[in-house]
Amino acid sequence: MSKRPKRKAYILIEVLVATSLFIMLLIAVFGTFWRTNKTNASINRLRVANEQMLITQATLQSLFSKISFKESVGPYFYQELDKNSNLPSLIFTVENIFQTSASITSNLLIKLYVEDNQLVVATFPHLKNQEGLPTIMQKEALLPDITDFKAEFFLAPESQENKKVKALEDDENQPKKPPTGTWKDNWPIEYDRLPTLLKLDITHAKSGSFTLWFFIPFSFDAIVYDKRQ
Amino acid sequence: MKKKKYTFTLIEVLIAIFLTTMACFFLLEFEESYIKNARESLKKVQKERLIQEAYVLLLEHLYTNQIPWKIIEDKKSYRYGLKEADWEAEARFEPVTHRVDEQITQDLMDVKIELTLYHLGKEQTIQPEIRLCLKKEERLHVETPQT
Repeated sequence: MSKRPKRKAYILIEVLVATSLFIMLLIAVFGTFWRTNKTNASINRLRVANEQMLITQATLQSLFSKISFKESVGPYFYQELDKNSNLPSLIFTVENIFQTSASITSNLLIKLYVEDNQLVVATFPHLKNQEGLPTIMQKEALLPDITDFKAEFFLAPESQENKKVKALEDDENQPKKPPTGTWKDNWPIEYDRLPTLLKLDITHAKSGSFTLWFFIPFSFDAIVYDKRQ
Repeated sequence: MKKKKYTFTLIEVLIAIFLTTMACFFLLEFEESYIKNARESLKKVQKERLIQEAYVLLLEHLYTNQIPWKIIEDKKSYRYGLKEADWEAEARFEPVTHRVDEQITQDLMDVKIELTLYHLGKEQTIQPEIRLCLKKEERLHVETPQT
C-alpha cells in the first residue's frame, strides 16, 4: 500500500495569529505616519501664518516709520470704525518718498482696514484743499482670512520740560489730551497727535490670534524717571 | 527526479514581516527629522517676529518706570514675559557715559541695551544693541510737604 506524502500546511490558528500580528504592526506603523503627518501639517500651517505676520509686521513698521505729522498739509493719525466691515480702521499720512507726480503732495494718505476678510492697506494721494474723496492709488491685501481686527495705542508720559513748553502755547488751540502711560483702544481724530506705541490684535480664521507690535519713531519723547526714585 | 517543493514556515514569514516593519520605522526616522526641521524653522520665524514685541514691551516698561532706575544704573538685567506663551525676553543695561554738553549731566543717561529672547528658559537669540537716552527729573505731580 502506497502511503501518500503528508503535506505540511498552516493550521487556522497559525494563520489567524500571523494575520493579527501583521494587522497590529500595520496599525502601529500607519498610526505613527498619520500622527507625524498631522503634526507636520499643523507646524507648517503655523509657520506659514507666522511668516505672513512677520511680512505684515515689517511692511507696516516700514509705513509707520514714514509717518509724517508736520507741515500744514493736514496730517492725520486716527482710528475710525469702517462702515462696511464694522471693524476699526487706521488712517494716517506718510511721507511720499517716490513723488511720481508733481500734482501729488509730499504726503500720502494711508488707510489700514479689513475688506472681504482681508487686511488691506490702501494708498490715496493727499492733496491740499481737495473736495470730496480722493481716488485710490494702490490697494494691497496684506493678510487673508481675517475674522477680527483691533488696535490699541500707548502714549508715553510727557516730560515736565515738554509740559512747560506746551503750557506756553495758546490754550484755545490745545487739542483734546489723550491719557498717557496706558494702552487705549481708541484714538479719535481730536487727539491730533501720534501715539508712541501701537499694537494690532489680528484674528486669523485658521491659525488663531496674533498681536503685532509697533513703535512710531517720530512720536518718541524722552524716557523720564522720577528724580526721587 | 521530482524536485521537492519548498514552503515557508510560520517563523520565516513572521521574521519577514518583522523586518519589513523595522524598515518602515526606519523610514519614520526621516519623517521625525523633517518635523524637527519644520519646528526649528517655525521657531526661527517666531524669533524674528517676537524680537519686535520684546522691544516695544521694553519701551513700555521704561516709559511707565516699571524697570527700576537702580537696575539700569547697576548694569543689571531685567527679564519679562512676552504675550506669546513660553517666550521671555531679557534686557541687559549698560550705561554709556553721561552727556557732558548738558548742564544736568547727572540726570541724563545714555544706555546700551542688549535684548535676548528665551523659549522655555532656553536662550534663543541676541539682538544687536539698542541705544536709548533716559532722563531723571522732578515730578510736579508729587506733592511737596506744606510749611
